[in-house]
Amino acid sequence: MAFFKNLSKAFRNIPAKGQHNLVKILCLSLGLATSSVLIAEVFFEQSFDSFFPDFERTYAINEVIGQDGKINDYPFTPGAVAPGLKQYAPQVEAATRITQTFNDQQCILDDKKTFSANIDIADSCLFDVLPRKIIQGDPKEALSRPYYCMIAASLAKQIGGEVMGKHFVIAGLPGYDLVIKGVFEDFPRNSTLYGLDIFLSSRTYDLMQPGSTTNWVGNDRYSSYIRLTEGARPEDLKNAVNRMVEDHFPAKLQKQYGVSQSYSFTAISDVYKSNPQVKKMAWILSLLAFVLLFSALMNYLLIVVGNMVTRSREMAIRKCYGAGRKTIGGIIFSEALAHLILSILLAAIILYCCKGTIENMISAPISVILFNKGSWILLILCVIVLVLGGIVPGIMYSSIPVASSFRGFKETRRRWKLALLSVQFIAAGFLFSLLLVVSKQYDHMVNANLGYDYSNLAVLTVDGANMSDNERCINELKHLPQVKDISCSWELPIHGQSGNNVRIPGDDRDLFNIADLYYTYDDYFKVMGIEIIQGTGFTNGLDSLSEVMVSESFVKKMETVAKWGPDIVGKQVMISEHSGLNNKRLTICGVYKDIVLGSFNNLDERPSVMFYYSHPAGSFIMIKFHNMDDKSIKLIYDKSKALFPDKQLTVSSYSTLVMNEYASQKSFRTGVLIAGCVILIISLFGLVGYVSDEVQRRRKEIAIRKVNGAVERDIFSLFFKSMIQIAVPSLLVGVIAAWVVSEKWLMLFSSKITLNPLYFFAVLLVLLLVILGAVAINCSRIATSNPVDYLKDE
Amino acid sequence: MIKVENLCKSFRTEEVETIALNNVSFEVADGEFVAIMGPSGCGKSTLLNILGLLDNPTSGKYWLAGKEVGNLKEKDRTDVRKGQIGFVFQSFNLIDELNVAENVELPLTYMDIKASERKQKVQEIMKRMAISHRAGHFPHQLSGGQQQRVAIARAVVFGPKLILADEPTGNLDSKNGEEVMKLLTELNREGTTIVMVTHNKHDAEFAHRTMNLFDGQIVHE
Repeated sequence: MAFFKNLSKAFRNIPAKGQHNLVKILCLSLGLATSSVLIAEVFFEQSFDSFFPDFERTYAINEVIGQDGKINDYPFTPGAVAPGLKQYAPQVEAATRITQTFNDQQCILDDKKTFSANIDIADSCLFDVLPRKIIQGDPKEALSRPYYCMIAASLAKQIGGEVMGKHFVIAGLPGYDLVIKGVFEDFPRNSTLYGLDIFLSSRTYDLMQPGSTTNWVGNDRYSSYIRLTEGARPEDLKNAVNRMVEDHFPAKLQKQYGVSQSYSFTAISDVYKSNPQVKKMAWILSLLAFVLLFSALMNYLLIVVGNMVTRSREMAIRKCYGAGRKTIGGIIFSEALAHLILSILLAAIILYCCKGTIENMISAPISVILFNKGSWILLILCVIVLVLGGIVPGIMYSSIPVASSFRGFKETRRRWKLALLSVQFIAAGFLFSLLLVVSKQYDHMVNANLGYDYSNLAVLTVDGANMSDNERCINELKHLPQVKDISCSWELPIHGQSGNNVRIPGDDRDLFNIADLYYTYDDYFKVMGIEIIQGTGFTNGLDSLSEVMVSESFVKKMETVAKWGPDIVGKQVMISEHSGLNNKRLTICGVYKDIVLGSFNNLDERPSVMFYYSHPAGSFIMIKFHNMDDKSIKLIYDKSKALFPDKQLTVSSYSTLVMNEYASQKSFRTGVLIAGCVILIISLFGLVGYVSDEVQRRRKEIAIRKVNGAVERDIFSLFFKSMIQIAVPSLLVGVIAAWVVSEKWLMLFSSKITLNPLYFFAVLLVLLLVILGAVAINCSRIATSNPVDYLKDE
Repeated sequence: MIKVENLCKSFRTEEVETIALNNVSFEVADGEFVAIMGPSGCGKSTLLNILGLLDNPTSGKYWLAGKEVGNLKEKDRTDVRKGQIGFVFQSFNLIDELNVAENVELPLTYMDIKASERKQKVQEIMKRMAISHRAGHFPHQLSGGQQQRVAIARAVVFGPKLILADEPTGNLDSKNGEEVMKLLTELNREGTTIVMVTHNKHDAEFAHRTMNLFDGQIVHE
């Protein structure tokens, strides 16, 4: 009963003057809201693919390739490996492989309705290894017969009606009449397979790419998975792997080609979280969450400790009338509980109001990340808040002697308050320094020189367009006055490239792997602004599938591995996919300056090659404008839509594509900014509370100083001096910590900024000015007041 | 030194107006020692605060050393006060975080005086007040009499023309009180003008003359 009485009084006294309860609640709620999202996000990311039944014995297969003295693990294998391993290893209970085929591809149903889908190829053992609830159909049948497929439940809902047996074609692959033979439950957000809408049977893919699903060497594009029997471990498969490799790619042959091949295994629940980016981000986000929550909690304690001066008399009176330790403790605990309840409610409101922003940053619905297995840690955090905020102050209040309270208890626990304030300053220094580094790195990546000129460049893609469609499009668009040049390409440099191996005549060795940009069209180098440094490049209209352009680093590589000289125009090479089984020789007709392939998140440092075709065979039409703006992009869209009213098409500026590659860094930057602002707000609240307590404590001293000749400036400098003594070392610690964390974070990028001490010094200075500004505002009243007002109290 | 004419001071709240001083007029010559006496609440401390430029009168005029200072802003009051007026309070009003030497030095730190010169002045005055042996001690380590001697040292270290003392012996025993009054008399003999508020008739006898205040008015001198 006493507990509920105390609790209701605690709620009633929330607006009480002098206790700063609203500040306590606001700071605590900000800390809880931001740290809960961060913690939930970390737990969510760490939970990837651990929802599968028996995930502990499910593994992804990695291909281990040695070439050029280097050994690398790749998360993809040739098509035969997964089923092959099941044949060789009795410990393998089930095996499957999938491969991405079409991304956001337009599909057309029999009734001419269209939908977009992400399409992968899968074999009939998919759901043996990676189980999902089967809503309709039999996966064994649906994924083993040609032209059959299974679709996700969300896609089925989008299509509407009874989907089983419905026919459709992929716009870019009109010759294949596909039929829906099953529906599976969507993969959840915390899965690497999230977003997959259609699994085409591997037999269908055998028709598209004969031999792909059964080859042992090369064409390593498959994500392969195995489930082991109970008690088996990956180490038990070593012999089976060795036998399998020896049977299909013997050591002798490996030596001849200058490569080595083997396989390793990663637990499926570790695939995502073992990514260095994911690991580092988890570490950084956890640190941010800890800093935020700790600061909010310390601020709460700071205010509570500060209130002791004003509340000590109240507690003394209670003690005079019989209140013991338990009673005092109960009052303080009830207050802390009331504050916590209101903070949680306010945090929930903040999260709800900022739902859109948060979900954009973390790319998942907020409900998904808050209500998962990580939710228990949020509960623990609340308990910690209650213990530290409710029990510790109660003990402190109980220890103040009654006589001291009536004689005017002077709170001598300044060191506590300074320590708590110091922690908040450290956090602010850390976060804002980190923010500066993240912003600079983001700007560096987005504005970096990629080796080609993408200013005024737009990219048009038309789903399902063939060569003659592209030609029509190019002929229509190139005459527009806004268009300077136009070309077509198979690939975009900003995207990842597949690879092929390079050999030279008379040598069986695979010398090295190259990034293959495949076929380009007329004027491609001109449109992209890529500099040709040797030879003259391709000749427009002159078809020669025997010619290849290579990058500068290709030349350097050949100097090392093949002892070629610097002039290589006219020399001949074989490139696996293009030379085929006949070892067709390709003549190098030019060398272009190196361009950046991929993004700085995932830079592809391989040498690259390009081919030419006299018809626009690629998926991307590149349009160079004289001056590009939104109107010109819309014009392209409208003109193209007029040509292809039934096709899905997109027009994007190349700059947008570049920025999209760094969306996660932008989100991280926003996250750090929000966290930094929250910390600063909390710190400033704490600082305001501290300064007003100090002004109260020192009011007599200030009055005496003023009586003895001190002016406003002298009073300000009194407070500034004591604040600088705390703020500067604390900010310095925060800034140094940010330096250390920044160095670790920057290791994620292949191209990074250089950390300049001046950045950190600037942050320290700005924060110091903000702190001193807050101090000045809060002590201005006493600095400008009549000292008599304060001496009268005395 | 001091001339006040029809000085009035009232304090107003939402419901009540209290008249603390009601048309007070008097003069204090250079080098005089004047005692102001009266019952509690008669306006003695209010008058002293106005004389010390710690407060402004509601109406009336106040000249200090020939300059009208009655309606100055806080910053200007501080400028006038600095270097001219020393204060001695009943409850000493020493700063607990500063030691004796630092408390005595306090007014000098606001007067653009070099550190070496400040040190010399402090040492001289502490010697005179017989508190040199306590230079490094803090106020809570001193007796009442010693604290008041420190307060007097602080009030005179910069050589003010005027000392305002508000019940300087109020918290002291008779022996220490006697010592404090002797110090004040000595300072007055050296030319410092002193205006002292007191309840104590014995202390008032040290002054050249006494003014009696009653309900905010001077009743007789």
